[in-house]
Amino acid sequence: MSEQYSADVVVIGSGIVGALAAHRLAAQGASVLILEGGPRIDRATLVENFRNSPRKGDFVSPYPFSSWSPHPVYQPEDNDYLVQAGPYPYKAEYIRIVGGTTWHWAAQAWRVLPNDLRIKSLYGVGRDWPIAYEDLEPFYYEAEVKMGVSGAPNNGSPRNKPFPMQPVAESYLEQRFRERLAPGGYQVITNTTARNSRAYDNRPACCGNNNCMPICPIDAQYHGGLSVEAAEQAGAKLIHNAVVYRIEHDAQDRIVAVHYYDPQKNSVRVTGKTFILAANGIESPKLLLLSASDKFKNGLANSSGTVGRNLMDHPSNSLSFESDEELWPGRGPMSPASINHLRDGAFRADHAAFRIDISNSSKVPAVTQTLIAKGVYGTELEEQIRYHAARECSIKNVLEVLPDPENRVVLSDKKDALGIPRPQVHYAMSDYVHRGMAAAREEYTRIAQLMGGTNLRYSPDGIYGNNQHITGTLAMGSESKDSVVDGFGRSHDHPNLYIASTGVMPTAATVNSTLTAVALALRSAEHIHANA
Amino acid sequence: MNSHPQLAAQTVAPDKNRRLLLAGVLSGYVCSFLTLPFSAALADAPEAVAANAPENFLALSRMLTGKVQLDAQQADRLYAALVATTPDFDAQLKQFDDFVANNKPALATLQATLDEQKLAFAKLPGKIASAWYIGVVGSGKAARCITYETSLMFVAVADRLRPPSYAYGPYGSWGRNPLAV
Repeated sequence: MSEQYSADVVVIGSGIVGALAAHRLAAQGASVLILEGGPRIDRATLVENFRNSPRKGDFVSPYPFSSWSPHPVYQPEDNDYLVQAGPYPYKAEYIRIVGGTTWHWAAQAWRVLPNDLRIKSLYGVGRDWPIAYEDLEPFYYEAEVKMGVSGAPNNGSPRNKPFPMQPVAESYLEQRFRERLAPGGYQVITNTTARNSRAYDNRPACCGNNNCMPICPIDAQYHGGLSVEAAEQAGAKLIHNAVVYRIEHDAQDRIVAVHYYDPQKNSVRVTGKTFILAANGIESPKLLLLSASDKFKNGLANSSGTVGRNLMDHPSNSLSFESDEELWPGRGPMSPASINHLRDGAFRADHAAFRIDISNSSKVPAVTQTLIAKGVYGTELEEQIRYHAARECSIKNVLEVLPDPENRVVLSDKKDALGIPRPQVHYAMSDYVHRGMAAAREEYTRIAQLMGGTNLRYSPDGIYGNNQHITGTLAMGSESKDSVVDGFGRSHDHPNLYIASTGVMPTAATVNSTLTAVALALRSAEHIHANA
Repeated sequence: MNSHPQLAAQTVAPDKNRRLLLAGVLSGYVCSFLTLPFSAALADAPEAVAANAPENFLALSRMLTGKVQLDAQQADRLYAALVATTPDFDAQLKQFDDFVANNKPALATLQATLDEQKLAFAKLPGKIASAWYIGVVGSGKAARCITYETSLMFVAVADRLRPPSYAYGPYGSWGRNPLAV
């Protein structure tokens, strides 16, 4: 076993969260080494992969899979990497390549609401965060500037400075939803996204490619690959195909090294002064549990026993319908607008809060498949494609799940190609979630009526989509007995180990978790720098 | 039928034929997308060669798509892919062709008729229509993307939408009423 690398700061994982923390620290003069388990790949290849894929709706399909750094794959067959213990399937998607999972996202870059951090105090459910919204505000702004975020100023999250750019121009579909829903009391706002509404950061404005997921072809949308480039330009070094499998501590409980395998399973030891674990909300707890030692028999950073527990995401139900006018979804960004007022209120004591998301994805492939499956052929097929593709609408929610210690990530007894245990998930849906879903369904019905909707198709009761917002498994808290890290993302057990991940969020709120995780990571980086 | 491309290579490497066709199409419309529909650009593309695919495939394709004229190269590639992914494709094609010739079924009730009679080739029309309209042949692990930009579902809406991953137009152009564009 050889020791080949050392740095002031060693970052495990090259996704957007870890890479932007690395960027900040490198720019401040620290030597930074980023270890990424997967390969490096360029945008042009991903676009080509997408266009040649037989499964355009499978957002993982364009992304390369490496046996040494596997990620969950569900189509055309489940590769059983993420072992399901039930009772509810938790089919999380993430990508283990340089840049991580934000290569495919809809660039939703929302701040939480101030009340989201206090739901235990305010509504008697979930848990409070150890920090206040005001603590995060300057780091939210720093993240927004780095990522190029824009949005509606009335999105519910206070801000001290304006967005770095104007909201992305409304699609025609968004305009019509906004105009037609207003009389019913629904305010439709443009989504808060890391998508350029003008040339910004040497990247172009959006050109409406309607392919935010699985890959923006022109980098008008920010992603973790750009974070890595920025970190490298600031002086950080990255090693790809470096699969970290153990974290090593000394007698004083400080972390002294991490060990990684290359694809041929040669082991390399990397030392450092400070370590940032940023390998996402499933792989990070897996690595802590894998690193159990004689002193820390339940895994590192786990004196509370909560590593891997309180797994949360955002489940969705949905409604598809046909509007009574031609809206032609598919022009502009895929996820342009939201209804926001159901994200907070006294009802949170009883049922889950949610954001309603209005889709603008092209419906052409889906309606064509449906029509052919019905046996529609000839000129009628083309006419029907045009009719339905012009009118088909879909709306869904992004709904808050409460932390439950029984929902958790553990080590499976099944192993991957390098002999590393695979993650196993235990997951269940609560009545709090089901009641929130029922409330959302009532809103959908009203929305469809306002849009002149016909042919209403609700998603089946109790069967929810997943949004790949993995949260809670490394939760921050004031007390070391029930949380993994403190308010700065530092392990309660190891003073030079920080965790930068959506996993540190104690609750999931009702918005996509990326921007909050980046803001928390930048705050951690500030703390690391101040205490170096 | 004697020069079908190697399908295995098509699925793992960028398809040069498709890219060449696309380049030709794009050069025709990229600067004038507001006035020249995608379908018109395609219709103007000359047919370089006659199709090698058998006439019964071409005739049934014309029937199922409602198109008088289909691109010859696309026909050859779809036919080759269907042969490669469907056991006894040619035999089923002949049975389907004979059925149409003998029964002259109405297109609107064709599928219901085939399903009702539980005929062995009942799924063939859907496979052929899917190949032309969606550009994907086969299913599950055997699924292959044969065409994308020229798949007929995108051609059908080309005056309103671009295939996802291709630019709609300059920033904000998507805000206009599509019926007024």
